[in-house]
Amino acid sequence: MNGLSVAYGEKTAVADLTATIASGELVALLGPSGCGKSTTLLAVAGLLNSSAGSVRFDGRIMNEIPTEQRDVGMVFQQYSLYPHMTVYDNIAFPLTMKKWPKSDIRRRVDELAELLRIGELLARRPDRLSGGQQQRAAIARALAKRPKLLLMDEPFSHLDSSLRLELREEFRFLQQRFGITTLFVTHDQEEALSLSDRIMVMADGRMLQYDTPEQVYHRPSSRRAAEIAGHPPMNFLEAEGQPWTLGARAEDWLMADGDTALVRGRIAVIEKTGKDTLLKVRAPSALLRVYASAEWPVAVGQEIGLQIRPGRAHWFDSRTGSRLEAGPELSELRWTGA
Amino acid sequence: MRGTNENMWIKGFSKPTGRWAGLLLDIFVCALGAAMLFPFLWMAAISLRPGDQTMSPQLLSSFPLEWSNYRTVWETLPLLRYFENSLLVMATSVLFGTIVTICAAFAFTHFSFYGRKILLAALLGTLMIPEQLLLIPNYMTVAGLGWTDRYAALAVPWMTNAFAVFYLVQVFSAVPREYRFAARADGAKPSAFLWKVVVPLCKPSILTLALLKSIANWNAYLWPLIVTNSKEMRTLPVGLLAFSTEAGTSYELLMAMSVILVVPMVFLYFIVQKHLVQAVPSAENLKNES
Amino acid sequence: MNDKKSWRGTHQAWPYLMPAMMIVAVFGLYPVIQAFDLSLHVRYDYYRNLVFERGWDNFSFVFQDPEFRLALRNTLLLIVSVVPASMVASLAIAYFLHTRRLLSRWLQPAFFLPLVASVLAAALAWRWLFHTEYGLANATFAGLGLPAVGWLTSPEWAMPSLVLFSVWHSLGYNVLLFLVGLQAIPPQYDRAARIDGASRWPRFRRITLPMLRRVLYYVSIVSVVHAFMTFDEVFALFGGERAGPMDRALTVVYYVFRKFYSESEYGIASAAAYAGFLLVFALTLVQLKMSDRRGG
Repeated sequence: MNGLSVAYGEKTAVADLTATIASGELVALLGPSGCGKSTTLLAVAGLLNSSAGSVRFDGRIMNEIPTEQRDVGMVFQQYSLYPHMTVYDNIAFPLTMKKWPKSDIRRRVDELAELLRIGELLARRPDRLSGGQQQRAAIARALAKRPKLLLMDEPFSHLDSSLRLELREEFRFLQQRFGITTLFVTHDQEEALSLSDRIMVMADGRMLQYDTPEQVYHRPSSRRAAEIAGHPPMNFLEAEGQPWTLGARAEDWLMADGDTALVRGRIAVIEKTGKDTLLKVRAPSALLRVYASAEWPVAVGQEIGLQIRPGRAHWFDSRTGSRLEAGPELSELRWTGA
Repeated sequence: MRGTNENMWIKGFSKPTGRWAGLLLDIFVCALGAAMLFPFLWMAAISLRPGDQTMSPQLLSSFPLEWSNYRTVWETLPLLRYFENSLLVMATSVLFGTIVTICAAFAFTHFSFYGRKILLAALLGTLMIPEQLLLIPNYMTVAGLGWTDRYAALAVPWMTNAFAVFYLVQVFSAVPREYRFAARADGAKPSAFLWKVVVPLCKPSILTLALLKSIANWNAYLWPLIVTNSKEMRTLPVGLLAFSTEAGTSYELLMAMSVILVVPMVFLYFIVQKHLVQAVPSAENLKNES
Repeated sequence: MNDKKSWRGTHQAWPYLMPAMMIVAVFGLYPVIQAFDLSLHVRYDYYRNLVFERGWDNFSFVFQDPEFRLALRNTLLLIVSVVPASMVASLAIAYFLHTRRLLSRWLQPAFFLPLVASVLAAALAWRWLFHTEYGLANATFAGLGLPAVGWLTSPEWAMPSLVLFSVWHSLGYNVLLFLVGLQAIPPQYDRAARIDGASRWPRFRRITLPMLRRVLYYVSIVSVVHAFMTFDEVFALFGGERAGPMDRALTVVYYVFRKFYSESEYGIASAAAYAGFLLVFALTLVQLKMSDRRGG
């Protein structure tokens, strides 16, 4: 993609997006709803016209090539399978369009059905499949013609959580084994972080960061990007008159004594989520979300002193929101409110 | 589990309505249904009476039933010819009309093209116009084309209209766009997408439209009466019309002919009835739009 | 969609559009213009396709013609009688069919049969029921001790007979539309009202009826237009020769048909058709305004 823009009438949905996806990579488009990630996906597929810029596959400009000839496979959140066809006919559909001989189609469909473990379901109609089975079949269909690029729009979003994890892992395995270049859209930061080779973080039609999950998580390029990737959302402390905003993720806090504490506050809520305990700490003009270690003695209403783990503080320009490489010495700061 | 509980609730509450009142209402509406059917029952009954008993006010006045009336009608009228004409005109008109309408509706929902707005406006303009207003000029057009007394005059003019196009535009635009995206990614050309995906998906609504067209076409009498002169070109309704002036008071024969005219449509209705119910939500959409 | 208009799209679209658009243009759009032109022809010779004079004379003739005025009066009478009667009856039937699912499976076809059957055939049966001497209508009257009535032969009974037949004939379609509307109402509302202890009639009045407003409105417009178009019923019921005894069931469209078909007065027929069309249009606009005011 090179300087890709997509416009709906007067409104620009995606502006000036430039990125390269390496062959065999799995790239996640991450962002809040309405940020233009689906639009980007559709533009890459050729289903939307780009108003500026170009889309290249292997260096070849695709702008004028209609979707039918772009050699992409697509999977959607729902309505992926044609309801009036059996699973077999669905998977065979792209091959029928290519006028493959019947025997070849059969071989390919059987092979895919085995890979995605839907062999017994081939004769069924989509309405008699579970959500997970439907998405398996949809992936099988998208892969049937061995596309250059697989595009997926929230493919796992409306599945139950356990099924979602299972299918995700399986898909990752398949994708790596066959080296399927994939671009997929998700609003789920955990999915993006755990699954992909690279993440494209988007907001308001712009690309904020395009990097590996580690970099996106540990070195967010801007305050906005830091908000999008990571849950619970990063805590921010803004001091009036200072050129910087301080950010720290919930898991990057230590308990600290009076003198060394950066922030002091009162525990407002304790949420136990199995292995973790999340505290909501009311500090002067800020509500911090902090993961507590098992040894912390915590009780609602208790006063607590907190400090950021060494090297885990993020500094952002308080005006532009962009990342600053360094900030003041943490031990010298005391938070007293904005 | 939850569902059954809910049903029990509702049942409990509907009790006060009263079982007897409900039954009475049931009987009343059944009677009303019978009353609706009554003219048809009467028609069938008279068609099975001997000629001298048609005047009896009793529904079942004579046994044995007089099936020979049908044979008499068959022998006096070129019924086979009428049937052929009706069937041929209906089949071609409905088949081609539906295809042509599907294509047009698909173009409106699938492509962005120059002139789309103008065409839609022109179609909308013809939506309100009564068919009877068109009768005169259309007769002149058909006469000018030299189609008088030809099948083309019977089949072509009413093949499609603005209502049919709008109805299917509405139905097609309810198809989720994901299907279109997926089909294009799968390498389907527009025509393949239309016939392999859209049409099978919208089958109930298309069948509904086809049924309505069939009924209108089969029962049409005014237009065929106007554009045909020769007996050979008569359709069944025109045949009945001619027969009712020719047969005079032979009511049993007229009724037999009427039964022959009505029965095929009743069959058709029962065949597609199941799909009509499925097509209902899209008809609702149409109404909200118009 | 951001799919911009393009020559590519245009090239693809037109082959699909062409056949239908040709038919609509030739047999739907052109005749409208043609009819208007015809209505202005005052002196002409159709055999040689010559028009000597154009003007508004046909319109002034139509409005001064007592036959047309009778036709107009009858048509309005049909609208104010058939539309409410058919709507109330069909709504009641549809509501019943809706609440009694099991029974309705068997009863629905009975109400739809008049919709499916040829109006000519149906009218033949009705003519029989309406027969003065042997018809069932008069037999029932006799049973109740009432005098026999010339349903189709006496001038004063022509319109009531026509109304009766028209209501019967239009019932099925309206029932179908109301059923559609009723099925579109989410059942939760009715359930909630039941839990609140509302009985059948208040539930119908306060919940079902307001939620049916759009359908009611649609049915009323369609019914008015349809009643205005009444032709088949007259033609079939009175045997196609005259519009009932002494023309007493003459309607606007029947007038148009007669001028055109029997008298070959193409100009007058077109003028009458246009005058009628404009009246329906005005009536529909009034309905639109009224429903707008009620927030339809």
